[in-house]
Amino acid sequence: MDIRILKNIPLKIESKNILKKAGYADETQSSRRINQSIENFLTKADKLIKVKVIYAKVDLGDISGNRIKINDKFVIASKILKETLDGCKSAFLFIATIGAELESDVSKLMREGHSVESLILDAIGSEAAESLTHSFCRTLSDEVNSQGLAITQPFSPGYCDWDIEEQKILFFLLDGEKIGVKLTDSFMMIPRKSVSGIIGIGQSDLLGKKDLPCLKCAKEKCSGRRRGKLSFTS
Amino acid sequence: MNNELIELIKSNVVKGRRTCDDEGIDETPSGAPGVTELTREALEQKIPLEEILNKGLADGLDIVGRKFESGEYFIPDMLIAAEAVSAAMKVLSPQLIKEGRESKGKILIATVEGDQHDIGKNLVATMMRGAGFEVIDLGVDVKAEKIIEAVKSNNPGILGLSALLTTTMQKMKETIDLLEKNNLRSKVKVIIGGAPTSTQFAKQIGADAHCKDAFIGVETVKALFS
Repeated sequence: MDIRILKNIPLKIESKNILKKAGYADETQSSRRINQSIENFLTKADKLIKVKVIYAKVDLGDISGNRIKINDKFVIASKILKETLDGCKSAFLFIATIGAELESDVSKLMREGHSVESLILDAIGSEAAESLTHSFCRTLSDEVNSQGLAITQPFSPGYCDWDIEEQKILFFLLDGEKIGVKLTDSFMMIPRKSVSGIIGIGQSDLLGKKDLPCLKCAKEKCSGRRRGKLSFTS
Repeated sequence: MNNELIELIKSNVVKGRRTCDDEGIDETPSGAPGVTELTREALEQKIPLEEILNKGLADGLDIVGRKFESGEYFIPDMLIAAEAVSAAMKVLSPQLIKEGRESKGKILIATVEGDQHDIGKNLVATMMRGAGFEVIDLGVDVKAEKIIEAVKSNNPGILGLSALLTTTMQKMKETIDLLEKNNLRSKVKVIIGGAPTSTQFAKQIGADAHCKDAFIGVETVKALFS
């Protein structure tokens, strides 16, 4: 298995998304103190955010029921993931992180009583991790597009009906520690602002017709709910 | 005069202005005294602590909570206001100690084992401190055994448990069961919160209350301590 590490992935961190993650309904609701705080942190972003991604391409095999076989050896189980990966013969497994620096500052700010700034910096971290995943997907999309293929949306252990415990399969196949990411006994990642998952690779014409699984899901209030179709074109 | 000063403390809590340099949530031009300066003045004028605490700070936070419930204020605004209250408490602290006043109640708070989420818990702790309660924060990923030990040694009136994952919320039940085993359940009220939790879940695991947000959390502890 060819395992690769990427370090230079440009991020697009948008203030309006940071504000939403901090708890505002939209970008018009924040006061000057908050906007200035975001600006200040963003000027230090290079020091606080150190992105790294470890990933590898794997073969997918079909098994009956809701199970999917990876590299003919490991089995993961999720009905919704199986539907998402339907028609994909291979996939990328990945672990991505923005590093530990930002989180350590979030905790420090809280300890010192700067709860507002702590909340804002945490929201910047969440937005950075999301932007990292999106940029990484765009890189993969560009890579497979040249072969007439496309990628599915990324899907993480713990999403929908995919048991978070299967995080351990990802971490068995990819050495997270090479990019500084550890798995806790409860299958959470440290640093917390990390994302892991699987991204299917299939024929563009087939994947292009697929709807997001969120559209069929009854959990209207799910914070991870995605709407419309995903596009990773650059 | 007293009333005027208390009203100013209250309105500056609502605006979230810690000092005269703060613009506050509504971007008031800086210069006018903020909560710190106003509280100092109130002490100089010998306004009773009770009045500053209840009619200035607590009533101010109450308005903030209502603005949050109605959608006028958002989570960062609540924190900004809570910080203004903390600034006032710093000013009042020597006097509070001198008069031998106790907090409105002691609350122990923790995110349960296996769960690393702390922003929601921190927000709740800040709001509760702002409302005049003593909060002991055990941090994140705290084992049930450690929580039980802390209940024994700190004797809090309320234990607040937080979880953000469907997998870790089960640890809340384990913690409550362990409280029972140690004959501590009747000595402490248990409140829970976090995205996957609900009133139904609270009932199911034997918690006393579910708090859907930080404001409800403050209202709940006020009711439980009264």
